[in-house]
Amino acid sequence: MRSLGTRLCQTPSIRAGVPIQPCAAVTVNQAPMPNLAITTNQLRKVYGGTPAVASLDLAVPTGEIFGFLGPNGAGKSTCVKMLLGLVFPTSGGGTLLGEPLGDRRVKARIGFLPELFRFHEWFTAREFLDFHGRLCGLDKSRRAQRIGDVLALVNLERAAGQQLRTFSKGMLQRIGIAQALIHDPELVFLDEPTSALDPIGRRLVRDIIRRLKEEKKTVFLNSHLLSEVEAVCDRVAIIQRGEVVREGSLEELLATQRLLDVEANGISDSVRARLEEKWSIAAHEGDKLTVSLTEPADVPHVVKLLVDGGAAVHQVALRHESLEDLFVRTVDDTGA
Amino acid sequence: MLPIYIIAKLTLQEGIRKKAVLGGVLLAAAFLALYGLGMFFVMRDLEAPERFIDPQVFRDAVSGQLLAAALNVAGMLTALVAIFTSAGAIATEVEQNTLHAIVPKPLSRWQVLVGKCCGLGAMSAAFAITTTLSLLILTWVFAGFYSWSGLQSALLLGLLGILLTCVTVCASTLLSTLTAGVTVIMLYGLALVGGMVEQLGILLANQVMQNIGIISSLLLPSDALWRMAAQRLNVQELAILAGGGPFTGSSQPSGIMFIWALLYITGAVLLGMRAFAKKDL
Repeated sequence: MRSLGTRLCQTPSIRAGVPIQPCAAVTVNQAPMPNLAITTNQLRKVYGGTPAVASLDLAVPTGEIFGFLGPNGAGKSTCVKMLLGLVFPTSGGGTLLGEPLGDRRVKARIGFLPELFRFHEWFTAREFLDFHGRLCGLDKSRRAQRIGDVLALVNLERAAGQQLRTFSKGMLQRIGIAQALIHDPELVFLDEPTSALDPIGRRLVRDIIRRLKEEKKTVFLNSHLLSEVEAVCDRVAIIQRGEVVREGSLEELLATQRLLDVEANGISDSVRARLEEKWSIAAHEGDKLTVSLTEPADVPHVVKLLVDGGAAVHQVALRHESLEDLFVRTVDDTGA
Repeated sequence: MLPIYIIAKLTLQEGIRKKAVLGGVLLAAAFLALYGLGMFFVMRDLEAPERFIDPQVFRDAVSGQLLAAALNVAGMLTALVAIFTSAGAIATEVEQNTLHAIVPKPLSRWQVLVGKCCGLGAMSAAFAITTTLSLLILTWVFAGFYSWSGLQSALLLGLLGILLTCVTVCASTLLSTLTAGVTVIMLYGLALVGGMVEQLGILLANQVMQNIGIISSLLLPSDALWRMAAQRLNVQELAILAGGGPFTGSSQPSGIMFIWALLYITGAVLLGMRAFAKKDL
């Protein structure tokens, strides 16, 4: 069964060596579908003649945990800033929760954790959250309730009376998540939410994201930590030079490719060449070889070819491609 | 209006914690102490020349001269506090990404800018009014000179603080922190010198010099506001009695210049709102 995102935005299947076509544009002139949290149509940003985002087409259904990936300089942060009204697009447009980008009413339904932020350090954690709660229009009793809730959520109840200047980087990141969630938003943008966190903090954020999913919230996650993305996201988009070069559910994307790790002595150049006639070599270093397969049934054929070519095979292991493998392959294929 | 109040309160709380404000307050305290001490010694040791039939008139004239000079310093301190606290109002917060957590909240950008102008303007105005009233109290205590229109003078210097705050916040939306601060200080200096040139032009009956002063006041009506504040105390007339000095003037700004100052503030805020509304953060 194909995901909604795939139906909306047909992304061609990618195989090694096959050039990737950009995702087909979503037609914005049509009324936005009610179950889409985010849509963009050829969103473009140019700085001094250089495009930071070439043409972004996205469609993120509500209730989804969406991973937004790309190498440094791919335009991820600019995309997020355009969606949140921090940066104005040069051309193109989009919607958030069915309303045009920049609509003030919809801001009350959106939460955002910025990446490189600096908060007012003289605030205590409670004052800081109270300030953001007031900005979101929460009344006093609602603020008091939500402050308690989110402090508990990010495990900072004991630090409620501490000034932010005494917080560690990890605590600041957690209080940042708390301010993003203070008004119980429907759509949450998290820009590198785990970059300053230790493993326990990362697990906490993972749990928060999963809880948001249970509450039918939509989460737009921008992260370099691919293992985190793989652990929580339903769907991902990989962007390159400000264009989506691959998009789909993790299940779909990672199911198409399998990797066969082989440990064998005597892998000659001729054997390798014969392997490459049928499959692609993902890695080869000394006695260790990784072959990219589309069909698990190919495993015996690979082993037979190696043995027939004089190699002594000690170990083979078939595994799914990880998100990191997919990311690297995609970025390599698109010529980063 | 609530978001403006929230941002203004935050800005005021933030501003009070700034070292520039602490420095300004300490300098003002030192200045007031020196002023009080000087006034005390002058009034104790002063002997009126024979041409003054009533020595109290001479004493008022001298204290008026000192008060005019002190008002000038109060204006300068107000200017420095207003400019240094406002130069980074937008620029620094953009550089540090502080606004990234605020702008996506359900408020408009113009409300952020107006809130900042209100918070910083209130702080500068409070500084100017407190300093001016302190000067008036010291003058009354040590010289016995007072003027009920002193409150108007304090309010006019408060308006000077608001004017420079709004101009600097506007500059902060367009320029970096340092450039915004330097630009407004230079503009303030230009108006100050222009005001002096105008006064000299009146003394010398030189129309070109007078026009230079008028143009400089149009560029930034800060000096005009200070002269209005001094005029409300009648200190300039009293100072002329004592022989004139660098802080006295031959003419006073018209009421139109007051209206121009109000329009200038409005224009600066509107320009800042427009620039901030289009700014990439």
